[in-house]
Amino acid sequence: MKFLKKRKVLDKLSFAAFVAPAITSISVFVAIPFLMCIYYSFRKWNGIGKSSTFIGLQNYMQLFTNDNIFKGAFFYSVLYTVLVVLLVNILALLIALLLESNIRGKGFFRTSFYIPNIISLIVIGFIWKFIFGRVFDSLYEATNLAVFGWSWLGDRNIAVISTIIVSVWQGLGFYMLIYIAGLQSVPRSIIEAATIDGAGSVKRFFHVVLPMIIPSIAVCTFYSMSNSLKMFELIFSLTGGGPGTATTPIALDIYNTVFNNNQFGYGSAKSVVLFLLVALITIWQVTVLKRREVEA
Amino acid sequence: MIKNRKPSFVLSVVALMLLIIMLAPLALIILGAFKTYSEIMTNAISIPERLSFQNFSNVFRDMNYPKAFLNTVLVTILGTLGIVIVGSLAGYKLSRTKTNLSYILFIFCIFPMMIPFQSYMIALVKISKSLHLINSIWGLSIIYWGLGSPLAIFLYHGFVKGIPKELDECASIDGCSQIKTFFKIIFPLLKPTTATVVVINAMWIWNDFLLPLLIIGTDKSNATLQLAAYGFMGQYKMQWNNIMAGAILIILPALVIYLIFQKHIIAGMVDGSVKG
Amino acid sequence: MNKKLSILLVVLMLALSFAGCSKPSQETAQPTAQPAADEPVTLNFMLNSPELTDQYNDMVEAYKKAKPNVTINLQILQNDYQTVLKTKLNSGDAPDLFMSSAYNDNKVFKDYAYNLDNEDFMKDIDPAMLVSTTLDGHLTGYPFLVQSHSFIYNKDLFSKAGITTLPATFDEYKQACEKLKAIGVQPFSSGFAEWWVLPQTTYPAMSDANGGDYVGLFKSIESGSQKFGDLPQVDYALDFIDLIKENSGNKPMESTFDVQVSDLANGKAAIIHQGTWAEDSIKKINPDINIGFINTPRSDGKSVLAVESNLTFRVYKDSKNLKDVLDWLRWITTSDYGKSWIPEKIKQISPQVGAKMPDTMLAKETGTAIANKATSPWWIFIGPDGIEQPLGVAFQNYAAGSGRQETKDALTKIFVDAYNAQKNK
Repeated sequence: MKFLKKRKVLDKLSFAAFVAPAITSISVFVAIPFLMCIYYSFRKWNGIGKSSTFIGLQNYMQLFTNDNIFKGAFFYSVLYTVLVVLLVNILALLIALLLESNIRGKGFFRTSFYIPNIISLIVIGFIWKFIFGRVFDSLYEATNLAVFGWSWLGDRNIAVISTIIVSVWQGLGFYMLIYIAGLQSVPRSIIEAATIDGAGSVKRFFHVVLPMIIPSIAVCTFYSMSNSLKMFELIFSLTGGGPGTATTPIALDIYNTVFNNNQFGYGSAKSVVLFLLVALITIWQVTVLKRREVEA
Repeated sequence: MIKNRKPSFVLSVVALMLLIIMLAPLALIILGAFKTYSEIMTNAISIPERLSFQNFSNVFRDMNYPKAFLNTVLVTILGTLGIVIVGSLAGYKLSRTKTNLSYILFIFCIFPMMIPFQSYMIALVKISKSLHLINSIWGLSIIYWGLGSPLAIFLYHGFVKGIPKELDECASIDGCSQIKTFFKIIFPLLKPTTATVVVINAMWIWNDFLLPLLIIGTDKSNATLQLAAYGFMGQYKMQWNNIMAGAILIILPALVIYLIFQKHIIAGMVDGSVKG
Repeated sequence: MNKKLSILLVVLMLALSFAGCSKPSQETAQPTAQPAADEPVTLNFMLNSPELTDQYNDMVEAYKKAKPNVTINLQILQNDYQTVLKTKLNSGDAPDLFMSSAYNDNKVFKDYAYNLDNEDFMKDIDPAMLVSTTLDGHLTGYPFLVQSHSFIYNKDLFSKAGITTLPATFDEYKQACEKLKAIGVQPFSSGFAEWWVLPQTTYPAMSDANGGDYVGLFKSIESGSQKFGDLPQVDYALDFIDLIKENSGNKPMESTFDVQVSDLANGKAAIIHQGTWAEDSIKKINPDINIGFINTPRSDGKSVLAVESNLTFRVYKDSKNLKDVLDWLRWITTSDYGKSWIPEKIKQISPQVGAKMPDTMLAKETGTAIANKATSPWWIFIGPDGIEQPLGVAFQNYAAGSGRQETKDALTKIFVDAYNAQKNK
């Protein structure tokens, strides 16, 4: 009896020892600040005054019913997320298939395609500003192709496309690697069986390979969706949200609201909404993943 | 995937062409870094007349590169190490303990992955200030432990499921302390996930910008590479030749580390993601 | 077990304490009594306008010679200035001295700014310039620079195009554009990629709003009896934006401050809307250029130069080095170096009484405009807190393609929202 009791206490202490550092650091650096954010979302505060006023749900009502810029940011974020997730995943999968197929120098290609992903977002912004600006100007002078004369960062519609292109370019390598891992885990026996059965490669891909890499697809979709909804630094550095507010995602709108409009409480409410959006997507993805896992 | 056939020439060429398109922007940056200002302004896509290193030396000096480099290395190592330790300990224990409390704590730990940084940024700085973590490389690293652990815990939690429980049992029968057991026996088995965690966090911390800006500001002696880059890029404005040279100096260390360790990096990411 | 737990706690505590010890705290422990003259003091200044970095550094060196025990640490930012300043003020890590705008910022920073009412050196500042930093009878800031902005033009290109009198009305601007295009010169470089160029381009053209009674205007906007978007001046401003955009080459929305400066200096464009702060950068690229100001036209027929002392130094109220910061301000105002810093090194107009006019083309023209009373204050800053950027963005969206009515509604809304946010504070 005594031994068991001692065991229980030791177990509890060891649990605490293992878990305490994580709980402490997460509480101090994320949870508490976030709770403060929720607190301020119900208040009116300019961010530096020494007092704030309680206003209930006013901030939330305003952002849902009376804020065209937030609406625009919401639509842009959704559009951006959908397009980036689709493009980056399809392209990454295609390149993964290509790299896993019958080519030489697989290792070399794998390494090289990943390179854009190791560059910091600040630097990427400057790089592509140079490309869309000076390089395209020079290309236009050399070739006279209309596409190089467009205002890639200045026309409100084209700028949206520019942000998507740069994001896909930057993220491609990362998802490609995950797809390669997924493809490599497809047992050869199944593929050979399908080949013996006489299935053509396209059919083979869709009916045999694709179902087996659903976990990779789920992971990549989840990750890219969540990342795209939260995107800030790349767009900040590439277009600054412009021209006007044409490429302002929710995260940047929050930043503007807090630091340029001096509306900390309102910005906090927007942050909470963004968080809920990302949380919903995450929970949905995890549920789908778990269900698929069970089936597999 | 396919039986021992000769590699397809066509497919290899296709891959090569795609790669060239993909890396073309970087090639242009490299070209630009060696040009003079007037060369870039006249033609941004030509090959430089002469390989001029002037831009690099300008930037190297203006950016205070050696110090910034050292600071970045320090923060990255300290931050990543902390995340690995904190994350593996928690991820392992939470995965093994099948109680309600454990499940709740696990959700608590991975929740932060969904919270956008802007939401808690100011409050975080306020708290960091009262803990004296401001304007210090150590302080910044410790903050990263809190920010980076959630993902690490998530990954370790999943991976640990694949490790047979018998290994835990036999060690505790032996009478060794649990933490010692963990590091001696279990931790080495977590290598694939650890590789993933190290890669993801090291890259993120190395490239991170907003948090260092708020914690360290622009005090040159404590600046990280990204902060230094931001500083001089704002200063150079349209001098693309200098900006490109600066970009290369920032990318270079990451690129070198990547190329040296790429086998491990890629293997780690690949393994870790499959199991995770 | 207990042993392991305690080891972990010790490690954590050690880590935290190392963090504290690794760098000496920025705040030197100050007794409430004045520090001895020879005790080393570190002052933290947070500044924007990075185009003045060289001049800031020069000043720091000069002060080191004057007061060797004082070291000034500069933090210079532009884009993230607001973010970092507010974060620092919030977290108690405030700089000893920082910069802000005047007028409404007096209210914003009220809880943080030290009142300079009783400081002896304030009498050396031109009283006209003190209006912008006065709140409820207190001097909450120290005016740093008198700046003016309007359309800067290339005199040589204008004479080449045969433009003999400077345009003073909207139609005359249109004609000037035609003449410039006829000699193959791009009339404007818009600057529309920067949100702050939009307000500075438009509000002087709107400065006849409510007959010049800005306080009255904002009172009625705040009460809701008037809508900003319905002001007739708004239509005038939007027409002007159209004119500039049509005559700014093929990528008007990508024109940044640096593009404007470079276009003007290289003779690619003939007119940019910028201010006295730009002259140095323009001259750096083309030292031989001849530039001047064209006043901004208004719908009431008058044309004006927007002149103001808006950039303001503010002293942190609870600074542990209060006396040293005030000493520095005194030095800037009364010492030989201080008196010459703005006119000669920064080459802009100083708000100090009897200050020399800098030897720059734009400053000379500013002097003329002031003498001719053809000026307008930076009246938009009398409006609600935080209005500058949303205003700029609303106009920028118009330039990017939003509809006219849509823009007017947006303009009305931003004022309503801004005043709403200010209520009950």
